[in-house]
Amino acid sequence: MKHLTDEDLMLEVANGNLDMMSILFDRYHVRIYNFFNKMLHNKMVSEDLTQDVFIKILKYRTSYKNGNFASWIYTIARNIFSAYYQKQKKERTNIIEDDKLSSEDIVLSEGKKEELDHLKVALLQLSNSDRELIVMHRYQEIKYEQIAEIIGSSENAVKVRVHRALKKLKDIYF
Amino acid sequence: MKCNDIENKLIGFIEGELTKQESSLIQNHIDSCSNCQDEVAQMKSFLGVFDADVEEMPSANLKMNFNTFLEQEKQQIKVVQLQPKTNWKSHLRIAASILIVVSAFLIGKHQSGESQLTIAEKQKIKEEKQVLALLENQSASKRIQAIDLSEEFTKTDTKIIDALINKLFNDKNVNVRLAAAEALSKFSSLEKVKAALIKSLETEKVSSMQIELIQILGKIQEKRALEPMRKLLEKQETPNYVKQELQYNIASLL
Repeated sequence: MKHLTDEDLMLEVANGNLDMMSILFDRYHVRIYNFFNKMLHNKMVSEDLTQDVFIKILKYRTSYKNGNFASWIYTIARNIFSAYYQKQKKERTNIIEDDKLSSEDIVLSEGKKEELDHLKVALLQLSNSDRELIVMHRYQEIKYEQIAEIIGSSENAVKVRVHRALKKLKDIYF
Repeated sequence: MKCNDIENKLIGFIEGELTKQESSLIQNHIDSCSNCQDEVAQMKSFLGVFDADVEEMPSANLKMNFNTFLEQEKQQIKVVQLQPKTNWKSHLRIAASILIVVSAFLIGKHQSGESQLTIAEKQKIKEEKQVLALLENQSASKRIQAIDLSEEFTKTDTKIIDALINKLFNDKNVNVRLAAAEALSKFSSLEKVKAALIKSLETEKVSSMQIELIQILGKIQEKRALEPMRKLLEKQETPNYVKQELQYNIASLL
């Protein structure tokens, strides 16, 4: 089963073989979790939202139509993020604070860690749409072409927007 | 080539995304421009920061919760497969549309003074039984579906209305209770329904339900709801947004 593509597995799931979802979960949950955590900087919420993504996939499994699975799951993750963000905005709570879940800090040499933290703070100052482009492209190393598919744009437009966002981020960073 | 032309292509240049020709044009410029050299160096060191980033691992809870959910979902599939293969949904849809036609026909018949148990009436009793059965389904979405269907019945249909009132009070899922309240608002001319809505306002703890009930009772101008509304307004634990709704509707009832 391990050699099947994501798409093969998802089609199996859509046909009722739900155990295949475990393999997809193993392949994707860390990536999706990191996507949310970079967007929100909140571990607990990121876990909840990651859970929501997989629940949604299971619930709507029959609506999967053989497209690129990675694009599909990121599309779902983006929708869940934006629903969460809108809700938070309504409730006027600060999404950046409340990072309480105790997860072991990554051990890095002092200087590197400082730089990374500084980068995280800078990242949170970008707009959501700029931030997600940088998260997807730089952190998650998703190709321009695929980002274009996920956000419904063209490859060239994505490239230009990523470059602009990087420049903005650099100006905040320095 | 000028610095401005290069500015927008710098990242592409560093990332090696440009054509050879473009790339060498930019390289030529950079070699002769110290400003751009600085810019390139700064951008390179900035992009390098990302490389130090390590993927974080979520806690073990995530996997555990997912497995629990997966098991539940698998159970559901089994339950669904045990049921007869006929598609309830489409049956009930057809049933509901037949019902509208039939009830229109029946109203006409009643007006002309006849009241025999016709085939259409027997059919209606059958539909009613189906909806009543579906209301007891263990899936909340099925129950809501049944409630939606029950709105097609007329207010003379006491069994359906009783079942809806029962859902309003006793269903453990708040969405089902909400749907029941909404459906009952269509039958609010009945004394029994009014009394149930007022009673529910007195006992209901969930604020979204409270708001729904307040709105319904305000809309039908039910003066007897004033008392429970005032009580709710005085309670300390009532959330502010519910209080706002209360103040607005109390004013309209006075």
